[in-house]
Amino acid sequence: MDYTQLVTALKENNSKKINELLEALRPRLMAFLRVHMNADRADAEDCVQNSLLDSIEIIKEDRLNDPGQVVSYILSTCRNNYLKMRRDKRTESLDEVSEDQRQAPRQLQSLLDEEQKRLLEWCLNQLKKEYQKFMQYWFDHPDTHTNKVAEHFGISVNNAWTRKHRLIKKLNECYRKKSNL
Amino acid sequence: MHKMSRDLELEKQIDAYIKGKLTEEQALELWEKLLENPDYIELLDTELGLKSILEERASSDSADDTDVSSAKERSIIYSIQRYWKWMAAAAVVIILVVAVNILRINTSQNLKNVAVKNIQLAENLSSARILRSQSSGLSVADSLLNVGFEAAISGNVGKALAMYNKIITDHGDEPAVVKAFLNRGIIQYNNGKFDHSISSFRKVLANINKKNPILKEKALWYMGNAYINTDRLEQARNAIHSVYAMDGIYRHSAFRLLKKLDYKLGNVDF
Repeated sequence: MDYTQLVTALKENNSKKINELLEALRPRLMAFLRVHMNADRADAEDCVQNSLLDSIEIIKEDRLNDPGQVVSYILSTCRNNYLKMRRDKRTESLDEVSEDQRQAPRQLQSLLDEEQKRLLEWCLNQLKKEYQKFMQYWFDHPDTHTNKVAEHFGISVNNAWTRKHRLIKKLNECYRKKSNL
Repeated sequence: MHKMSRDLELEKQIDAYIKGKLTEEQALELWEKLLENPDYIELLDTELGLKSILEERASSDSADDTDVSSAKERSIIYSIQRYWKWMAAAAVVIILVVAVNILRINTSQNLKNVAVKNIQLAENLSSARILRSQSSGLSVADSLLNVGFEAAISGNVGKALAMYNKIITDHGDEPAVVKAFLNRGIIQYNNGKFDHSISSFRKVLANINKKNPILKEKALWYMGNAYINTDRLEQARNAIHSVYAMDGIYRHSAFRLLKKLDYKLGNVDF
């Protein structure tokens, strides 16, 4: 999706297009806050709403220099607003929070709840043993280069990436189907 | 998911991100790309879930390995003791005493202690899916479900119940009503009102759409547990057996509970 259209739509006051783009963007920003920033659902919702309002105001006032940077701008606004929200909640200084954020590795939060995780595990168990071993090996050796993974399973490097992509996609489809979403 | 076009570079970045190898700046660049490729957000989420499952498996395997090592050590010690007949005899007596005591504890264990004590609200209350609502707005009933969810996990269970009751009263013909009954039953269960919760779970089963086996399984599972808490063990067994037969997410827990129920009901020969 080309978000530069948002800038055009806002300038032309095209409400239908604006709503369409914002509705597409909203759940993606929610995912960013929840996965990357470890935000809980309520905070993420509030933060996305405020960030979109802030961004719309900036774009309408023509203060965004490069429309091509609109995604980057909205993402940064979202991140900064969330950090500010956390600072206000925890009465920490922004510097302290930023220090927190720099501490690696970041613990990424999955959006799956326990029920979805159980379904995903069920789907994983339906895969052939060989494929289960492949995924287990992949995550058991996070520092191993893909060359080694490919060598271990007697396939080419490209095939290793393709196999991984297909398995993740298959699991995604399986648990979504299973949970009837 | 519809047929998506692949972006190998993006896949490699996601892999590095999940493995904690990206700087904050690189991670933000990745998210900029993800916002433009939402299919990959779904895959990233699946991969994170998968990673956590496989890590749990790996740690549980390593715990098993530790158990095996301990067992080997115990075996060596036992071999030495074989030469000391009196020590072996004493060991046998000790083992017997311990075994008898464990057996006594197990058999006298109250079945209610085995039933679910408190249902985790954040994990089990049903709400309308935010991520799937990209192209259409939420219905009023779905919005009420979400308000109820938010209230419940914020500790305002009364408000949550009011929302679920409103859905049941005013939106009885909408799909959200099934989730409202389930959520109401869960809250009633946690409040110790097991009879009320059974009624709510029964409503779930009466209104459930066949295409939603998860809600059915949940309702049966918690209804079975509620029956245990009201000492109606035959009904509990029927419900838990249905859960087991569904071969779903509570299968293992249902199997364990069934064994205990059968023992208590005298359905097995010893």
